[in-house]
Amino acid sequence: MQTISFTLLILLLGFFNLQAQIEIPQLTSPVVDQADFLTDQQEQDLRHKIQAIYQSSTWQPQILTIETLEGESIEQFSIRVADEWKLGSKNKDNGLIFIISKLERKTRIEVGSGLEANVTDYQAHKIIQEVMIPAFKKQDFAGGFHNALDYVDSLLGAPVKSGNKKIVRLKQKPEFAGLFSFVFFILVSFLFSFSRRRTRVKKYSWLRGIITAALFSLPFLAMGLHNMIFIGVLAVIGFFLGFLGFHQAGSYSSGSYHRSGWGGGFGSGGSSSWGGGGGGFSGGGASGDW
Amino acid sequence: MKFLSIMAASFFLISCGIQSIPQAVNDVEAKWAEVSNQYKRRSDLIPNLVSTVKGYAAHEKETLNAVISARAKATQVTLPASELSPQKLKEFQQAQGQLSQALGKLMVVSERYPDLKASTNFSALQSQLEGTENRITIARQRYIKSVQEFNNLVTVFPTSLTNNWFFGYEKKPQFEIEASDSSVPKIQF
Repeated sequence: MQTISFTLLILLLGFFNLQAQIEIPQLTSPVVDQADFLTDQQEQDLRHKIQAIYQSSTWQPQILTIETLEGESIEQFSIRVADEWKLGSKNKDNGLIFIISKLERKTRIEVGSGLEANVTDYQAHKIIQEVMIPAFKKQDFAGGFHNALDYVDSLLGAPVKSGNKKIVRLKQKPEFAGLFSFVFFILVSFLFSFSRRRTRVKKYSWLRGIITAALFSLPFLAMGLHNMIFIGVLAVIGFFLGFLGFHQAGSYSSGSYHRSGWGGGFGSGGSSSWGGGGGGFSGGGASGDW
Repeated sequence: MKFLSIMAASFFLISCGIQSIPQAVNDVEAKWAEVSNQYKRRSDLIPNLVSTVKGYAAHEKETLNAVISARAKATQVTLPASELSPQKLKEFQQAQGQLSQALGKLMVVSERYPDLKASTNFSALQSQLEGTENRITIARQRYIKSVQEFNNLVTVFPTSLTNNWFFGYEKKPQFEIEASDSSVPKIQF
């Protein structure tokens, strides 16, 4: 018994050893200041600035400070963060992350793959060497980030005027898609409850099932939601609803708002929350020591 | 009973791999395209790099020639995603590994020339090369992960059955860590 538990312990330790990478912090705000490089006021200023850039410009900046990399290279850590947070939009891949670690005194700019043409590796290198490192060496972290944000923004066009713009703009497109599928669900269920009343012929159940399955999954396919499992499940649900007739479907369609709302709102944060929109990174950018 | 069997059949159809296996193939191919793309990007940087280094360190002929010939060999070994096999991947990796070594040596040598290091051109190229090496690493990691998922689909029950009955795909080759990848170029003083 003891040997077994001992072996288990060894196995467990081995498991944790494999997982010895530091955990990626929660993406709660445009400035994730884990290592306390910034005062509350500085953090707030930077947050406003980033929000303003995000709303009025074509890229999504992010700042992350961490205590230590625990032996991982900053490039590895950075791409893990980028893959987890998925900053930037799915079509434009326009996220950009500034990372700084306290213990190793490393810093990196991770450039979203859609921005690589404007923010080349050399540009990122220059921002790190000429803007960030000199400021960081003077312990002026907020200043370094402000200037780096301005620099990148100048490379991408539209400079930001003030950091205090009120943010009201909502993402229009996903909302519309959600509404569209909601209306579609209702329409379909109405149509089929009528057809059920009129025909009452059992042998059409199959046909009705297949048609409903198609109707249920089609709007999501058309929206370009590539989650095939989700669409498959919807198709099956649709099939059974159609097959069994729609007398139970009334309750489903009224409850379907949340479902369609989720499908439509896929990847969109509200105006107050902060999050990634599925942007991709392929490792562009530069690193440096400060 | 009928209801249950239809339900079971429907769920089997979703989870059997009819969709996921071809999707995984596409994913592996896309990830491979990214890998070869990034290697090509590196290869494209080299002529500029060589001519810049030549301007400051002309008598490092041996090192420069090693880079040029390694690049020539590496560009000859092309590998489209449809032809991925363990043997071909190994050849590809060897050719690129030799180029990595030659490039590593060149970067070490260039440390000895302060004027070269101070030139804008060189530091631009160096940062691009570093960025590209990082992109290669990431593209390779993503390929490895994608192949792992694909290989699981075609070898692990129940999707392995679907593969045998409908597709007949073989496992895709993985990258191996070889000496040229793990060895650090020697620094000479």
